[in-house]
Amino acid sequence: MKGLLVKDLRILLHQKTTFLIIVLLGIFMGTNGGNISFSMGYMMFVSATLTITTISYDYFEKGMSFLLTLPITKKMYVVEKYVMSVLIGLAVALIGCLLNFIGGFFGALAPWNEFAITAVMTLAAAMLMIALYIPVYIKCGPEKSRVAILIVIGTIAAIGYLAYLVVKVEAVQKALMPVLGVLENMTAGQFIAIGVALWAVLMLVSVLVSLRIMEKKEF
Amino acid sequence: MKLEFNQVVKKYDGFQLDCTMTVEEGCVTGLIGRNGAGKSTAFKAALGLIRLDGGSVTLDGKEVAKLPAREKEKIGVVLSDSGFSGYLTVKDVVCIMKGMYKNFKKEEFLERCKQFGLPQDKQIKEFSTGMKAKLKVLVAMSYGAKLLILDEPTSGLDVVARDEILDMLREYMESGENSILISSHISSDLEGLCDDVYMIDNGKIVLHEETNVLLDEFGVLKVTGEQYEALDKAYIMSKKKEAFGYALLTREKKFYQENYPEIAIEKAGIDQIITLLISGTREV
Repeated sequence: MKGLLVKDLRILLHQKTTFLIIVLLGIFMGTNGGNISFSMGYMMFVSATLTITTISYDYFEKGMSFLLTLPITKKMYVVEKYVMSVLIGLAVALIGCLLNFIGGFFGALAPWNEFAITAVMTLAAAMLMIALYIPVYIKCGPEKSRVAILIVIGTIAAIGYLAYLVVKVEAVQKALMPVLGVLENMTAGQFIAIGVALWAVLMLVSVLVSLRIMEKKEF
Repeated sequence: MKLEFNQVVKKYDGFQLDCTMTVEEGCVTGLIGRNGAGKSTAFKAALGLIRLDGGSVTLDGKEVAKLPAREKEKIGVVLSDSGFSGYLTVKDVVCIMKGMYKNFKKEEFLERCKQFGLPQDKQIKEFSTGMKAKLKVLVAMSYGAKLLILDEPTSGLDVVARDEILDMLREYMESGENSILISSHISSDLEGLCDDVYMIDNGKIVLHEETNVLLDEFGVLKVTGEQYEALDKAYIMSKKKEAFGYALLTREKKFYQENYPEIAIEKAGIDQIITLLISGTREV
C-alpha cells in the first residue's frame, strides 16, 4: 500500500501546477463575492478528480500489467485509490483551514463551526462522486470511462426522475404518509445518523463493486 | 525458485494456450517463438495477470495467482510493452521502489543507472527505447529477486548495451539459486545465456531441449531433390523446400555427417530451428 501511495503522490507531484491553479482559483472565488463554503466545495470536487487522474496514468501504455507484477494485490490497488481520495480530501480541507485562518487577518474569517460543517459535507459529497467514478474507471479504463460516466449519471438521473413521477401519484403519496410522519418527528441527530449510515453504505457498495470488477479483470 | 506450468490452458477467440513447462532452480530457460505464438500469454500466466481456463502455474509449489504481496518480492519482471508510467523519473522510481520492496538496493541501483547513462530527473517518456529497456532490467534486478521473468528484455538495445545486460544476467545467475525465464527475438542472446529452450507455436510447446544439445546435435542438411530421395529420413524432423532442393532439420547431425559425407550440413542456430520447425513440413 505504501509503495502505491508513494507512486500516486509522485505522479501527482508532476501535476503540482494543476493543483496550484485549483487552489488559486479557490482563493479567487473566496475573495471575490463568494465565500469559503463555495471555495471549499469547488476545491474539494476538482481535487477529488485527481485520484481518477492517477487511474488514467496507471492504465496509460498498458501500465497496469506491470503494476500488478509489483508486490501488491488487486485488492490493495482498489483500496489504495479510496485511501488516496480521502487523503486528497483531507489535504484540501487543511488548505481550506489555512485559507480561512489567513482570511481572518483580512476580516474574512468564516465561523469555524460553519467551516467545519462545510468541510465535512463537501468531503463526503466529493467522496460519493469518487465512489461513482472509481469502479467505472477500473472497469472501462480512461478512454471509455468518459462515455460510461455519462451513461451512469444519465441512468441515475432517469431513475431519479422516474421516482419523482412515481411519488407524484396520489396512491403512492398516501402510502408514503406514514414514512413522512416518521421523518417529521425525527431529530437533527437522527437525520445526521441516517445520512452518515447511508453514505457509509454507498461507499461500501462502491468499494465492493470495485473489488469485484478488479478481481475479474485481466491485464 | 522453481516455476512450473502444469497443463496451463487459456482460451481466447481463435487462439488457445496449452502448455506445460518448467523453469528449474539455478537455470535460465528461454521461451522462443514467432509473434503471436503465445509467449506473452505464457508470461502473463506466469505472473498471474490472466485467469486460466485450466491447469496452474506454481512457484515453488505455490499458485502464482494466489501469491501474497510479500512473495511477489521474490520475482523480478520485465514486460516488453509495459513498465512504470512515462511521467515518472528515475528519482520517482527510487522512491516507489523503496516503498514497495524491503530489499531494494538504492545505492547499487543508482550507481547502475549512472553507469548506463540514465538521467535521474528526466521523465521516462523522454527516454530512448534503449534507455527504457535498460531501466526496466535494472529495476527488475534491484531488490534481490530469486526469479526473473523477462519478456524481450534486450529489445531496442544496441550491441554494447545488450552485452552489458547479458553480463548482468550471467552475474545474477552466479549464486546458483536464482532462475530466469526469458524470451527474446535475438536468438544469439538466448544461445549464449539459456540452459534450456522451449519453442512455442500456436499456443503449444513444440520443442524443449537443452541449449548445448540444440547447438551441438541439431543440424541443417542442404540436399538436392535426388539426395533427398536417397536419404535415410529416420532422424529428419522437418523439411523445407528451397531453391536448390530442401533444407532438412535433424537432431542427429553426427549420423548424417558419418553416413552422408557428400551432403552439406550446417550447424543449426535457434533462428534456423524456429524457421524449419514452424514453417517447414514436419517429418516426425
